[in-house]
Amino acid sequence: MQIQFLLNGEPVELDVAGDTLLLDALRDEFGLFGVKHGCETGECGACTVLFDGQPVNSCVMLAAQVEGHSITTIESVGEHPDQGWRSGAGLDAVQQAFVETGAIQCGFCTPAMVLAARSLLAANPEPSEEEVRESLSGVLCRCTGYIKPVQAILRAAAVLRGEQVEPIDGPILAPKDLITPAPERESRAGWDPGGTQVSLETTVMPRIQVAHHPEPLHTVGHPEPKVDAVKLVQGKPAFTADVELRGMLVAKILHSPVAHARIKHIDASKARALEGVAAVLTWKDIPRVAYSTAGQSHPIPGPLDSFSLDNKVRFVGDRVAFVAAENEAIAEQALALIEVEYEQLPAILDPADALEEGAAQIHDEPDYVNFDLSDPGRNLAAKIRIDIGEVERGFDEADHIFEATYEVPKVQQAHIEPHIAITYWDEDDRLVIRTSTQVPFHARRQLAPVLGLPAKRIRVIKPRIGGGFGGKQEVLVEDVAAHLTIATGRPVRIEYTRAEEFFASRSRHPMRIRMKTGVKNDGTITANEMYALSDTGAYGCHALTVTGNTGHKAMALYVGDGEYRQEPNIRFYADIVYTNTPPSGAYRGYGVPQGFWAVERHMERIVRELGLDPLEFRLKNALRAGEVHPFSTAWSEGREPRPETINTCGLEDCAKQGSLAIDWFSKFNRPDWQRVEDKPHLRRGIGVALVMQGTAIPYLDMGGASIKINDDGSFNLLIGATDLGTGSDTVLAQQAAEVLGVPIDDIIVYSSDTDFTPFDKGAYASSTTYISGAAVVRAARQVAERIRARAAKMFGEEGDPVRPEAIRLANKQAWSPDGRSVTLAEVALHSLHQEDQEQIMAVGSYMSPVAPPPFAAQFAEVTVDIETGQVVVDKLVMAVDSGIIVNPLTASGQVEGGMTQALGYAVCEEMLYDDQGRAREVDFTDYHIFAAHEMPELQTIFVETIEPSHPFGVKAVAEIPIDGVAPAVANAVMDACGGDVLAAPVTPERVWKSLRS
Amino acid sequence: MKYYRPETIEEALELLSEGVPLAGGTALAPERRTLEAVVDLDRLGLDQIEIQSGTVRIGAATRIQRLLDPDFELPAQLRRAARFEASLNLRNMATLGGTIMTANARSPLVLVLLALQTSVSISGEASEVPLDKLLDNRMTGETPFLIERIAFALPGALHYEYVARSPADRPLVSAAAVAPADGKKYSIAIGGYGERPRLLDPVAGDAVEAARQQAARRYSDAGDVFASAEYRSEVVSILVERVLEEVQS
Repeated sequence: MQIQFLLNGEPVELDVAGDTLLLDALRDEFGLFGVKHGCETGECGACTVLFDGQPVNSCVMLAAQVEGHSITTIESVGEHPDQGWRSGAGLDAVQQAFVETGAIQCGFCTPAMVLAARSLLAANPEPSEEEVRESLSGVLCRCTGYIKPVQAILRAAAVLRGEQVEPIDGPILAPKDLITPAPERESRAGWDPGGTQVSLETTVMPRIQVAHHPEPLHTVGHPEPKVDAVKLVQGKPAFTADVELRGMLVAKILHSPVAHARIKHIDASKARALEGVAAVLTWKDIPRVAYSTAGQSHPIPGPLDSFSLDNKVRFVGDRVAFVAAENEAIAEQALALIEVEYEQLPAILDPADALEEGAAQIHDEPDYVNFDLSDPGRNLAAKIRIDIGEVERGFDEADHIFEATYEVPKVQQAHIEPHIAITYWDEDDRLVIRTSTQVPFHARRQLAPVLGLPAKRIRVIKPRIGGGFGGKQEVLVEDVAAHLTIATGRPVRIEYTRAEEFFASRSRHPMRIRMKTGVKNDGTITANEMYALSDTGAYGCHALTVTGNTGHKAMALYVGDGEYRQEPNIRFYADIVYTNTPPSGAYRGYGVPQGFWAVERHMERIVRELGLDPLEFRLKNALRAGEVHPFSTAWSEGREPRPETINTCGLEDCAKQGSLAIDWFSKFNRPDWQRVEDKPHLRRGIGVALVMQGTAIPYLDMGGASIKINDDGSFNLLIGATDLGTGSDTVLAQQAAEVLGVPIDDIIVYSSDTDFTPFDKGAYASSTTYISGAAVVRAARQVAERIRARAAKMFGEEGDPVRPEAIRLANKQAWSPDGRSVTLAEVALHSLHQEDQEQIMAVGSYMSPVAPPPFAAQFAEVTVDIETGQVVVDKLVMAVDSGIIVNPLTASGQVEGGMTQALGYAVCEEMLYDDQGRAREVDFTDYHIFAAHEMPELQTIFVETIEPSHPFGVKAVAEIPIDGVAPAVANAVMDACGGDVLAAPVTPERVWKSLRS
Repeated sequence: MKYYRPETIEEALELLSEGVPLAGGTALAPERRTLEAVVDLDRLGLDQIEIQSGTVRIGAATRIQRLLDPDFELPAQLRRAARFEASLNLRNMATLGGTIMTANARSPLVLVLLALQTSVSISGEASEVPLDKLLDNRMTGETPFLIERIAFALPGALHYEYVARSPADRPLVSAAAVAPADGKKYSIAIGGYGERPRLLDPVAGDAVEAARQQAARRYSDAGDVFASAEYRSEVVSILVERVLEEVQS
């Protein structure tokens, strides 16, 4: 049918089928890639367009519905301020504010937010914060925690009203002994979220207790706008899906409807005969290669138990066949034509059943490759037994023994950009894999044998990533497209639906954790023991390493005091079992949030039982600087452990700063504060959890960087490190800029492409700022050395000689001690064109012998309805020691976004299965993630330390924000009303039950 | 799939023999590959809101977001329920009629409309149908039908309460009460479980305990994957008490 409408102000005509979605029409017919696909049910809002000026979701609208209406997309808004000889209008005020305030992380939802904001401001030039939050309520963001987008819109509104806005420069200082509590907001116990005050200040900067770096820093430590912000805010085609290739096929997977079965018979002939189908692959059609989908370093620290396609299915959602067709509708029809006969096998859905004698064996294939203690005959993907010190003696010496079992659920990473990959043969007949991955180099190495290609004939390109959070530390869909490209010779694209993300992707390992702790009367911990039963689902991807970290981090924090501090008694045992549920995998925090749920709930219960002070007790027993990381001598991700000393620990100051910010001492255990006036059924409570994480995997994780100078004195920085929205490209560029004495916009960053960028193990284990950052500094220092040598030569040609070491790089120039200078552009021209020509360029790489832990104190304030069990989280404050903060905007963005994901883990996120192993949650209606208009107040404080193992003193910030919120919220519930919830999330019914028991 | 865009109700009724009514499309668009034809109701002029002599009439094709428009003096608690019905983007497309046809018991808006004793005008039917009855029959009819508008009397007081895992999550348990303008019996609806919210038998103003018990009984088997029957049964009675007290004060 023919439709006519206004598109970005221009009348257009389009011939569409009746069932074409507006989203598809805009992307496929008009090439408007700023409209994103995040789900199919209109819940995420990534596909937002303005329909007659109002934000709507184009994924739940037929193109035909826009006849006679007006559609606006991000492509009509703003442009890069530098258009060469043509003077451009620059970015729109909303876009500019998003760039300045750090409101953009992965940028996948940014066009939607910008459009929603423009719609609001067109009707309401002076919106309240509540109105801004409401305007964003249709756009889910998994990265930011919404503070910065909200502030950006308030700031843009002020700019559009012609008001002055304050510059975003220095952080808000948090002096060590002088911090005033944050101003109180009204309690939000009455459900309707948000305040009503107009905020004209742009409050996006964290508070920082500054550690003064020995050298003055010019770029490191500053809130530089993200290097990719300008393109993302314009919705440029920067993501995997945003390309058009002639003849590209659409791939779909036939998923198993049963939890455990052998495929007795499979016949794809009808599907193959369907017009428009290019290929159908079943297990009979491709080589059988055992591999692991976990994107990890060589050798993979886990069993090889996966096959691209197998004659057995192990969970509802497992792969049965692949289809490539001319379009999605044909591919879906073809799936329905594949005939499969299943011989059903007994399914294991409860991990406790997996180890039972006589349980069904989920991996009985003869080509299963063991790793370490994996034992498929017993459904054991991995097993851990760690004893540090003399645990039994520690229990004997205790005055009290505390034992309890805790539980954490399976949860989804829920990155808004689904898993997606596009594969094609290039002109050299090399297979190109354009994919949304955290691990491009691992993907190439691990896929090579699976595809029957040497690694050198595979090129992996990682464009911008719309969030990963560990979900893309997995080689999950690349093989599907690649097999189909090999089968057809044509480009193939596979993109998961949101439902597939839930039933056929990866998730956080659910665990049941038993704790046993010995404590003396004075509060000294004498021994601490954890046993974790961890459910890896149908495949053992990340099985050993995730659960290993549960102990390695969470059980390392409390070593005991006095003599016990010298020689801690710690036991960590775990069984990681297979079940017939979707596989678990990597998710931000990597086993550590599970551990801290148990440890920090347990500590709180000990505190309450013994009448101790929660902060004093924790700090008395916590690990301190100068001590050996207790697990460093016992375990290192399945590799050889080597002792590691903790160089820096700001935990005590974190507890202090956080408790002052949340006004702990006038709230904790204070009945006068706990009661809510005129609401006898409500109680306020406050809780804390202390946490630690790691920074990279020692002796293993390596990042590389190369830097070269251009004619104009700018630099190309090529890194294998994988920015998935975290801002790592930016903080790496800042480190390069600092060494080279240039502003950050003279650093042109590119990541990542296995053909062009140096190796990097990828974005995981909180490693990039530290590991890849040190690599960048090494490369930059070599480049700086060549620049100094060249500058010395140039100074010598025209005057007194200068020693290269005496030359200082600053303000885009090389300065001699006597005040002469040459610009870096002159240095570049001299070296590239004029004399002793050379390309000034260097490669650096870095591997660390230590993994310096960041530490944090997480506080939560809640209001509990003691009759219904409903919990409203009113405020979260996190004080974090992440070493030196390279960029306060991106770092606080990590903390705010991490706390927000963790808030879901605390109160509402949970993946459950019915008795047939079918997923309860397959969309964002049932699986609720927090939206802008229901957020509690968030506050971030950094307590800087200077980590000596990094050139600028940094430690990690990426994962630690997700560790403490859930236990802090549950501990706050306990403070409010005595409710003692042992299983996360803290749902109304769980609180209600605990209050009745 | 065929797409029709009729300009009159008569034309639409004729086309409905071929396809299903398409309102905002937010629920239907994801199902498009299973449909033969859709009949877009956008141009039928069914998007009027009228408040006259204490009666509110709202066209079935009215977008949910329009219920929040300050130009119309709709009860604040109805607007609150509309706001929690869906996110802004969905409210800008989804219609009242479509919501009534697709909502389950976790819908705040339909719960409140039920408590308001809303009646529904269906094309070709002489008399209005109670919403309560329509919710039972909405998917069972052989022939597609067209909702033209809904109507309810402006209440003396209205209150809505819910329990959810987070403020904007779908309710696990909910209740709404209406004090009628004539001050006689109170109308109460409960939700959170099953295919649709339920009306309790109307209660007298002083019969709080009876209402509590009635609600608890109604939800005595209301267990599903999101909450147990034991929990829902007790909590719904608490919410019923709260909404009744609220509308009485």
